[in-house]
Order: sequence, then structure tokens, then C-alpha cells
Amino acid sequence: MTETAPDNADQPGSATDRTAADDADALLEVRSLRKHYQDGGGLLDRVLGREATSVKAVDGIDFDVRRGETLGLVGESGCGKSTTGETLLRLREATGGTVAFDGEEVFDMDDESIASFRRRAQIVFQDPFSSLDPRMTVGAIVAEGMRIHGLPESDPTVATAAELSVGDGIDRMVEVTVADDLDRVIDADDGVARVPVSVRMGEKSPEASVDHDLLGATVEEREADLHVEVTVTGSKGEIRRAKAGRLLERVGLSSDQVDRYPHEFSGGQRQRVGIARALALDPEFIVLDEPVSALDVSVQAQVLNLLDDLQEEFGLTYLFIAHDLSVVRHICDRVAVMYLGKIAELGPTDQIFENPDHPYTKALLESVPRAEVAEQGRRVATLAGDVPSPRNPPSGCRFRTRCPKVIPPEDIEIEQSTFREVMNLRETVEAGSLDPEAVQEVGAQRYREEELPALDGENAAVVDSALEAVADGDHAAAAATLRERFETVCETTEPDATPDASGDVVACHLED
Amino acid sequence: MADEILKVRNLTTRFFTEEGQVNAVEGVDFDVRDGEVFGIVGESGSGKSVTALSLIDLVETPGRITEGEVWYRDAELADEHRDSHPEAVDGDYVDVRQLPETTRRWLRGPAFATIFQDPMSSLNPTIPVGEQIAEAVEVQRRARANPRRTRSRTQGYGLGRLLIDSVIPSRNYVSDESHERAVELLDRVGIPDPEQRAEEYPHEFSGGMLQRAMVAQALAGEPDVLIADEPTTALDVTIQAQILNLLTELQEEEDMSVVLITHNLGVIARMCQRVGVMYAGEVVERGSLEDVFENPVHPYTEGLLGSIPDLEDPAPRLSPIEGNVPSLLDSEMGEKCYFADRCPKAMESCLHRIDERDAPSTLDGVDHKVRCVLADREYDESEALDGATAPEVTDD
Ligand code: SF4
Ligand code: SF4
Repeated sequence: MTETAPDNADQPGSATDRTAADDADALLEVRSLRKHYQDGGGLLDRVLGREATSVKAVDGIDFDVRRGETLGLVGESGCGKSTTGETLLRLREATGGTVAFDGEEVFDMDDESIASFRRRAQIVFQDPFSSLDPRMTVGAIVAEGMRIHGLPESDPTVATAAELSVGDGIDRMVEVTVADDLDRVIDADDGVARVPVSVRMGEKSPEASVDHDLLGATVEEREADLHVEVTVTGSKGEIRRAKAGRLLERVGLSSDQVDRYPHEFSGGQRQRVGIARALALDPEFIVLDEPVSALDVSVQAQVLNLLDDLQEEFGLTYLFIAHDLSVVRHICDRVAVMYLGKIAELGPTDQIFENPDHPYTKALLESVPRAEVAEQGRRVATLAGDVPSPRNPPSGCRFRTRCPKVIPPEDIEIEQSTFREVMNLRETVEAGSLDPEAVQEVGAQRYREEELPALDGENAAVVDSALEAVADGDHAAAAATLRERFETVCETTEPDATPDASGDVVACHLED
Repeated sequence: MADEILKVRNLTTRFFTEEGQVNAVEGVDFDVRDGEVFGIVGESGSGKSVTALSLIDLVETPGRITEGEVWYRDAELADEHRDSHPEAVDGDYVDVRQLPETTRRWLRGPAFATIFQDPMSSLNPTIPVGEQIAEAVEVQRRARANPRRTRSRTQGYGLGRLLIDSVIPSRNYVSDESHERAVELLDRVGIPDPEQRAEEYPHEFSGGMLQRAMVAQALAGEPDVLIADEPTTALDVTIQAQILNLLTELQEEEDMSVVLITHNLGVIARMCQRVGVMYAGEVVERGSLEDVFENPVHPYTEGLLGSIPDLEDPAPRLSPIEGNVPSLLDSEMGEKCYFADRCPKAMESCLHRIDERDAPSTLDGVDHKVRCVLADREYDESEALDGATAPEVTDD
């Protein structure tokens, strides 16, 4: 792995070397992205003499999102997946690293480029209610982005055309001119915005009409011929409102709901409004941040089907952030599993779900309860303990404090499960949270026999001497004794999380 | 022997709101057997949580239980009340709802205990965790000694309580044994360093640890029935797995029955032997896990199962239930089957109230009951209602 890709995990500055070949199909390229928050440092903290600490929410991640795919970003709360989505859209300022969108560095964009980026890249949030302004009608909500960006604008690459129908009594040549900006009102089909125009005899003279509220047609006699001109008569506001109505229809609502307020809609309907809003600017890329987590399953299925359809229809690229693995399996082409601010594993969805390589991915999948009879009474081999704090993440591999496969040093002989227990003991000793009295009470050896019954030989002797140090209150000495014998590569060395030639990641020393 | 510890009959809870009467729970029947986990599954607004609150009589105004019985098996209580409250006694069972108020309240703890989605609804943020559990133990201890003078400080939490709690220190009335028992309970639910953790405040606990602490608190009264309302919904999946393992372990070892209420069909499948599916305040289908998951009769159950993406098999398309949950306003509910507006198999015969009917069951001794005309007849297209879609997969 290290031969084919540059190892730049520790050098965010040099993280920008990309070759044209390996990202030919990448719409978004994320390199060494970091987002740290300052936590504390408030008045109370200062009074108490506490220092501001840095929360490493996202701590150096690399991945591409390929054109037209859905990349899943999964993980448990606090793993940094939502922060990643917001940071790469520049909704939050990155601490380090780079993001390129269609080849352009997002963090270096000038005002003009950023405006275009904000049109092309959208986000849908989890909670449809809090992300919709309750005082605005849903029509205004959907149209707001268009208003801010001065849309709709005419697309110069779109041609306009008329489909003329001529009524009885008109026997002259009819020539039609269609305004170039007609595509602001009529959606183009195959690069052409077409409008049906009819000309028929009025009471005195020929009359032209278009069947559209926002368009007008005038007719003029030029010598022997009739000349019809179709123009946009609606104001920008009216055009936006009409487009908002069409978008509402596209997401499964009805266009006459444009004047309703968000509170009049159910959760699922509000999420559809959120999706219509994201679509309003004809984006190429949408970050979907837990878009169905707040919905009931029956409604969730409706929204997932809708997202599928929209992707196909508009050729969208999705970054789908979620904690529900079943949903991710359903909708994603590739999946990145995050743990404590890092990517643990990244690969094609089938591979991740059927042959996961990273111990964390395995544990995560093992934990999900399946909705089937065979699930009844299944006892899950659970991960011990909680996720450590991102303020002070473990050295080396972030998962090592819970990993059931944590690698013992080569020169000692020990069962895997026993080694896990030794590592747990080390954890409490290093944190200084092992109560010396508890050890004193029974003596080091008894304590070890009770807590680590499978330990024997030299391993047991080392633990005993460390426990004696704990009993004397010397946690530091105990920690050093244990470290000397049991130090693992999982704590000394960070596993390589650079994507390989096919873009996959397994950040685990078992894969070295 | 499948003995019932709890028999719920015709439980009906309404909310009398400004908009009108809301039928939150509508004639609910189910049994809970000794040592089983009975699951209640439903989406939001199905009435599953109000059912839980109704079981333990904790429905708050403007809600009220308007009808129904909750029969709880306790031979001693039955004997005690046979003469004074004959209507509340049937053999070894007492109808909790008809018992005198003090007895009813006393039953919370030794008979029923509850855990909720949000541990902070049962834990006081200003009192160390161990102390709160010790209090629960103490309350139970005293309740046993003298059922008439019980009071629990930690149940029902409000600003008034908060003020009282901060003025009156609680150490005074909690015995050392109760403290020891609290530490034992913390250890029992898998909290490491229980002695030290007992001294800590709720905010010093992680989400999973708080959930464990709440379970410990619930165990203080050695309840016969543990009512768990979405106990793992707020938790991450690896922590959820820990808590589910813990609940299974406790249920087996303490010989409790559990009523598990959740929207998560996977959690139901892992934990439950029997399950009831709720929709619009009614139990629309109940039976063994096998019957409900593999031979569902009610189109809502079918739809629910078809809506969830499968972890093992990425089907290209989900089959959602069209439409939205109906209004529960009495004035808008009408007489027809509540699912009729969304049901792909709705027929003429669905236009009146549907009673629970027997459907074929695969396990001996486990009924399969369904509130749907399809329990004892086939779907007939010629009777289809206007607007009902064909039973095939819908494809918008
Ligand atoms: S590097 Fe070590 S601790 Fe990390 S996942 Fe692999 S085996 Fe486990
Ligand atoms: S009773 Fe009729 S409408 Fe109701 S669920 Fe059964 S088939 Fe559908």
C-alpha cells in the first residue's frame, strides 16, 4: 500500500499532490482534511484555571467522491462524519487539508468561484424542521437560493424553439422568434427548451397565444407574412415561484402547496421540501446529512426511493452521511467507515458489508440487530467500553482501546482475549484510575488472578510487579513496567489510511 | 407453563386537547407471560409509548385512561383486596386500575419498573448517581415495611422538586445498606468501578453508562415486569448491543418479564418471543415473532417489514407504505379500518370497525390475532375500494 501512494498523513502541507490519472472520475477530492474545535477557554474555565482543549473532530482524512456515485460516510456519534460534510462545503472553516471540487481548490476560491461552488454543491440536513425557516412559505424556502443567486438565469448552451400550430383561416407564412432566455421558464429537454405556440384568426386580425402564465406571444403582420414573437413576461419572482412549484411536484408534493408553511407538513413532507430546496439551483453534488434518520421507517423508505430517482434523473453525486448501516447498504455505492475523526475503512459497499477487513467495521456490523426471525436471541460479541474522547484520542490506532484484535508484541506469547484484558488494565493504570486500595486489600497476585485469570508465566509476573507499584501508589512506574512488556504496534504507530490505487482504505496493522 | 404475569384488556387512553379528543390508545389487549420479553412495535403516533405510560398509570393531563383493565398476578394482593375491592380481584389477579391509589403507587417498583429512552427523565442531575439508586432502594425497603407511607423523590421530576431537593439533603434518610445495595446494583449492570462511579453525577456518565444506571435504578425494587420504552433509541449501535445484552442477561437471571417498546424491528427480533404491532392506537397484529415477521396478515405489518432496508441484501427498491399516519382526532377517525386510506388491499368490507380476529398460527399455545378482514378471507380485487392500489409492489 505504501509503495503505490505517497505517505502524507503527517504532512498536511504536502497533501495536495494528486495525479490526473487516479482522480479522473473524482468530483470531490478530500486530502488530509482536519477540523479541530477549541473547547473550554470560557470565563468559568479561566477562573478555574482550565486550559482550552482542542477537540479533534476530524483529524486527517483522505477520500474521493466520484462523479455520479453515492459515497456513504458512516460511524457512531462523535466520529466526525457530519463535521466532515459541513467542512468540505466550507460551512465550517477547516483546520487543515484541502478539498478540490471539479479540480478547483475549495478553500482557495475567490468570491466568484465560491458563489458558483455554492450553487453546484448543496446540503440536506437531518432535521427538516429546524433547517426550514418557520416564517417562510415552503415556496419561498425553495426559491430562496435562486433569489440569492439572482436566478433563474438563461443557460447560453440551451437553444429555444417553438412548436407552432396554425389555426383555420390563416393562410400566410408564419415566422416565429423565440426569446433566448425562454429556458428560464421552460425546462430544457435534450438541450432545447420548446414552447407550443398557436396562431389563429381572431375577430379582426390573427392572434397568437402560448399556454403558459409566464410567457407571452405577440403577432405582427410584415408584408405578406405573420411574425410571431414569444417572450418571457413573468417577473423573476414569478418564475422562481413557478419553478418552486415544479420542484415540489418533483419531490412528491403538490405545486399548490407553495403558500403553505413548514408546520403544516409532516416530517417526511418537510424532508421533501428540504430536498426540493437543495435541487433548486441544479446542483451536481449534494451532501445528505442523516436525511432519513428522523423519519419513521415507512416514510424513510419513500424518501430513499425519491433520492434514488433524483440521482438518476439529474445525474447527481451524493455524499450520504448516516449512522444506520442498513440504509447505507441500500443506497451507497461505496462506504467510508469513520471512527474518532479518522477513516477506518473505505471500499465498495458489497465488500464492506460482506467482507469487512477492519475490526471496527466488523464490530459495527455485528452489532446491528437484523429484522428477521433468525435474529432472535442472538448474543452479540460487543465492544467493551465507550468511544474515547476526541479531546485526547488514543495514540497510534484510534480503535486500539476497544479493538478485540489488538496486536500483541511479537516476542511474547499470549492469547488474544487475554491481551485485550491486559490492555484494558494498562488503560486504567495509565489513566491513574486504578484504586491502590483495591489492590492492597487482596494483594497484587490475588488481584491479578481474579481480574486476569488466564494470565501466566512471565506475563503474569510483569503484571504482578506493576500491580505492586499501583498498591504503592506509583501509577507511573506501573504504567512503565506494563508498557515495556506489552507495548503494541497499535499504540506506537498510526495505521496507514491513504487510499490505495483503487481508492480503498483499511487502516489497520493487521493489513500491513 | 405459559402463565401470564400481566393481562391487559381493552386499555383505552384519550387526550382531551383544545383541538378535540385524541384517541391515543384504543382498546388494546395483550398478555405478558412469565419470563418473556413481549415487544410492542410501531411508528411515531402509533400509541406505543402512551400504552407504556398507561400500564403504570403515568398518563398526564390532558390525557386520561378512560377504559380498560390491567390484570396483574399477585396472590397476596388478591387475597388482601378480595373483600374490600371484589371488583378488582379475579382469582390470583388484581386489576391494578381498580386498586386503591396508595396500593397502586406502591406497586411501582416491586411490580413494575420503567426505563425510558432518555435517562435524564428518571435521574436527577444534581444528585450523585449512587445516591439516587440508594434512594430507590430505600423507598422500596420502606414500601415493603409500610406500604402506606411511601414517597419517591426521584420519580416525577420538576422545578419544584429541584428546589426542594437542593434544600433538603437526602443523605439523612438513606441507610448504609441501601448504599451498599446501590453499589451492588451498579456493578450488576456492568458499570466499572461501581464504588467510585456511585459518587459521580449523571453528567459525568456517558450515554451508555447512564442507561445502565437507569436500569440499576429500575432493578432496585426487584420488579416482576420491566417496562422499557425505546431503551436504546438514543444510543449508538455498539452501545445498543451492550444494553440489549444486559437486558437479556438480567431478564433471564432475575426472572423478570419485560415489555419492550420500540420502533426498531431489529431490536424486536433480537429480544422478543412475542410481539404486538401498533398502528393508530390499536394493536393491529400480535403473535409469535415467527408469525408476525414471517407470516404477517395485516397489510400494515407487511408494509412495515417491506419498508426497512435489509442489511444483508441491498434490494434495488424499497416498497414503502404510501401516505402518512392518520390523524388520531376522534372527529376525523371515522368508522372504517384506520389503515384503509393507505392499505393496498382495502375492500368494501373494510369500511366498518374491525375486531380482532384469529389468524393461523405456527406455534402451539401462541395466538396470532389480527385486526383485519384478511385474517379469515382472501383479498378480492372485485371488491377493491377506489383509490386502493393493487397489492403488487408500487412503483412511483
Ligand atoms: S491497528 Fe491494531 S488496534 Fe487498530 S484495528 Fe488494527 S488490530 Fe485493532
Ligand atoms: S381491514 Fe381492510 S383496509 Fe384494514 S388493513 Fe385489512 S385489508 Fe386493509
